[in-house]
Amino acid sequence: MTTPPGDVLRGTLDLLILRTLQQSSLHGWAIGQRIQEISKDALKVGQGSLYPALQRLEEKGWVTSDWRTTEENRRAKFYSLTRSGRHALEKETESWRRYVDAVDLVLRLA
Amino acid sequence: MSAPRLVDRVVDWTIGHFRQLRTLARKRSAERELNEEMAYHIELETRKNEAAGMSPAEARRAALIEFGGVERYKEEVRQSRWIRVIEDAASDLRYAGRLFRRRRALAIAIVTTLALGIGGTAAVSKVVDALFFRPPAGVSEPKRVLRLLIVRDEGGIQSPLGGPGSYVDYRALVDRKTGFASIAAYLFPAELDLGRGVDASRVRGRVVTANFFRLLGVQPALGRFFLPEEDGVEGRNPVVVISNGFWTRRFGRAPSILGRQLLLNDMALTIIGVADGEFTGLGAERIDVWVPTAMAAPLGLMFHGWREHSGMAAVSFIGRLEHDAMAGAALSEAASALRLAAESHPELDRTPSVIQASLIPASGPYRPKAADLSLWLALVATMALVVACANVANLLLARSVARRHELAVRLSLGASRGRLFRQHLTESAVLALLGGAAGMLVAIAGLGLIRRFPLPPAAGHIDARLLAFTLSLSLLVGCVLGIFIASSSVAEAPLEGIREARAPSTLSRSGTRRTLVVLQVALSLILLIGTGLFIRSLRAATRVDPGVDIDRLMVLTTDLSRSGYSSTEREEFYAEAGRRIAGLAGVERTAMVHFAPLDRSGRGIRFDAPGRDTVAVYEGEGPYLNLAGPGYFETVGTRILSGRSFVDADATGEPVAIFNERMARLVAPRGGVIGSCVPLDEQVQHGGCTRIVGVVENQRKYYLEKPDVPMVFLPRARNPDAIAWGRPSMMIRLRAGAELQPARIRAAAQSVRGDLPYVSVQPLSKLVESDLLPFRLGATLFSLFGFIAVALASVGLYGMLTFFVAERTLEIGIRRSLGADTSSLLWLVLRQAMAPITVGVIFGLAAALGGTRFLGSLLFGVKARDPLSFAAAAALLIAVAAIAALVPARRATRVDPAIAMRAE
Repeated sequence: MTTPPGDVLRGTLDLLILRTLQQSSLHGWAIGQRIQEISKDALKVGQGSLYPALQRLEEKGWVTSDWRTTEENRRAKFYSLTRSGRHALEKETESWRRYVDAVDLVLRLA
Repeated sequence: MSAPRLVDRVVDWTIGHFRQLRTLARKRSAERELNEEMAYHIELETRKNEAAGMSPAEARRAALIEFGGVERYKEEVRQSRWIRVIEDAASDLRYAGRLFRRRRALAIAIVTTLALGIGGTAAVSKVVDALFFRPPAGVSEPKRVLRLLIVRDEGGIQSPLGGPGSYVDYRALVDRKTGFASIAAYLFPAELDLGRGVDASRVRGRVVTANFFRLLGVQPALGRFFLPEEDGVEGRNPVVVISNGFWTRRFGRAPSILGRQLLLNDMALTIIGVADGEFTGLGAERIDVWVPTAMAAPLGLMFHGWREHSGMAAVSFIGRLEHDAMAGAALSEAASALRLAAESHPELDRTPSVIQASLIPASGPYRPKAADLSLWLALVATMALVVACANVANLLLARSVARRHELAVRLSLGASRGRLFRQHLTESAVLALLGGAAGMLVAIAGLGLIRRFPLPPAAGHIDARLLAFTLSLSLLVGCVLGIFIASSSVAEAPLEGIREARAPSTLSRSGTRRTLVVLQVALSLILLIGTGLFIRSLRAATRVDPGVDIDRLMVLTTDLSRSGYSSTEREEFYAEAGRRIAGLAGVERTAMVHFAPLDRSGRGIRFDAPGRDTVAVYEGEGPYLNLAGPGYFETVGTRILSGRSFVDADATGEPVAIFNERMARLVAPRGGVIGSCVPLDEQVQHGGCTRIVGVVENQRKYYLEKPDVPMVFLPRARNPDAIAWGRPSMMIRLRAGAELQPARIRAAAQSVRGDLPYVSVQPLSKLVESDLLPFRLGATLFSLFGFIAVALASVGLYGMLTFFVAERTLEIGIRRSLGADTSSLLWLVLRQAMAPITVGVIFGLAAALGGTRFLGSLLFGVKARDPLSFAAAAALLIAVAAIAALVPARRATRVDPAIAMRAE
């Protein structure tokens, strides 16, 4: 199976979502948009992975959701980071860095 | 991880799951929320697209494409919940319910089939459970209680397999310190007369040592049990403990019965206690009363001084192990106690050993015949259950073909295979549980039947064990069926199934169905062969010629030995009762005899052969002595082969005897015994001889075994007390075809005297009932399960062929239009049936050839490989199968080519 370019690797999506939610609570669509914007359209979150991922994170207790009203006065489900979500983000970021460094090292030296 | 982090995680995790639980509770609103969230997403996406310059319609379309199938994602989101399992199960249940409502006939057929299979197996499991796994109810810590069986090498009195011992052994066992905290003893159960006169009845009693109840840990429901001193001097303490059942039945649970007197065998015994409700004794027979060993002789159950007699091997032992004792060590300690005692009893074997059996009925060397039979029944019931399951699998498979289209659609809509797999499982589980619930009813009906047989009471109880067994069996059946159906349908359902939904089923599936039919045919055949063997055994057993007219005889007995009657009074009673009974309509004649035919008990007699120094050692059983009155042989229908029967004149004058055929041959192998004078009994030592005046055909002492035991008859009138034990029987011959209630005969006897003990009147055939029981039971149950299996197998075959015809309608239509004639079309379908039937019959015959020899010990008068039973079973099965096959085959010949081809 070939992965369409720009699709987020499944393992990293959780990390990206956690990072996106670090500053503020966002609703699903906005999370996807933020990732896309910040990565300058390089990363595109397949919506089909976004919601299951959110569900997964909620199950782990890393994010929590509540219904709020948007600026346009529409009801939307906002996701925010929990305390253990923050810890997880730290740990995951660290291990991701280590992983990238390791891969980089191999690519340069092998 | 630091402690606060851990706490955070636990709190968050808990809140997350709590939310999900709430979500589950508010499933509908959760669904709505999900919809809302998705809708909002698409709306925002659409707006973004519009902003990028798309037309509104285009923008929305692109948003939807971007999002993908909304439903698919919803399903994925749902999948990620752990509670999904419960949700899915709930929806599967609803789904299953809807399907069953739509196909009610199918559901009913399946549930009924499973109910018969599961219920039958559950009922039989109760019998196996009671015989193999359950110690008697009411015993505390039954695992520490052992039955002790004494093995003595010297033959004769004790069995080499280990058996009862004497009261002398009991004393030896309790006098020495062994690993047993206590040892108690008891005798065989005995029938006791209760009361006198017309209201007299009979109860079952057991003679026990004083510590019997304390050892078992049985509690009194009322009063107390025996004190050690009450089991001391013979006859000094006439006390009795009664069972809870007897207390309820006879006294309506009145607490005032303590201290009341019970007239047992003409002795007044004081009731001192009632045993706890659950306890009915140690064997299958429910005991009504217990008396101490000191009362055995006064009640006439044993002779006086029996407790000092080392040869009176009628005592069974139980021992409760000390808490720290090992069974093996305790047994060898018990054996050495017996060895020590043997030193002062030179008549006893010096090297006895003691072996153990548990309180569980089927343990130990003498396991009840019912135990073996119950194992066979369990096997038979399981086979019937497998046939039932195969049938249900067939029905479900047929339906799963019809559902391929639907499955394919659901798969393409995003349902995972695992999800569909689980749905099959849920459906099968629901079916099996419904089957199990209905099976409970079948089992309860079966227990009603079981209670009629002499089995431990636990076998007939409707209890938690039955429920648990039925439930687990149902779940097992459900899982096996579900996995089977699911793996053969979900695995196959292709995504392209939408397109080829109407295509003929794949080869592998019809192969599976054919395999199921093979299995059914083979198992049914085995059951039919078993049926045949048991029916033939039963016929052979009922056709046994016992040497008496078993169906026209009634036996009257009453125990006058303890009633203070002089022997003259006693004989006068029999004479007068005989006259009155003979006067009843329907009675042809009566005669007295000591041991009734087929009675099994007997008293040996010594003899000498005239004109010969020694008699060849007789290896078989007997000879036995019996005392017969005038007209006895004519009354019971035993043919007089030569000489004459007894007459009144034989009471005096020269002593005379009648031999049976076997005895005559033993004494005079070359014939000519009539008129000879043979020294019998004490004449062997003290001189004198008895004139043989007649030879009669062999009468059976046992119904089925040992048909020719030598027997000597002496005239009863000459010495009615020549046999010291037992009570004489009055044989009553009914007129041909006459029906007479035993109660009328009893009343006629009771009209002679008002103070009679219990008068027992029963048909002679009743003595035979227990001999016939295994065959009757085997024949009934094998044929019941066998015919159910055959019916199910033929339905399975019918289903397979109907399906085949339906699938091939087009092909058959084409064949017809090309000019195929009826017989070739019939052949086309029948050929399909031939293969599984042939293979099934071959497998069934092979399995039965190998298996029935284990049945050998349960059969009578028929070989385990009886060709007739095998052939008849195969023929019957093939005939039924042929009928089942013909119906769909004929349907094939009526296919209208035009309609068939248009339908496609």
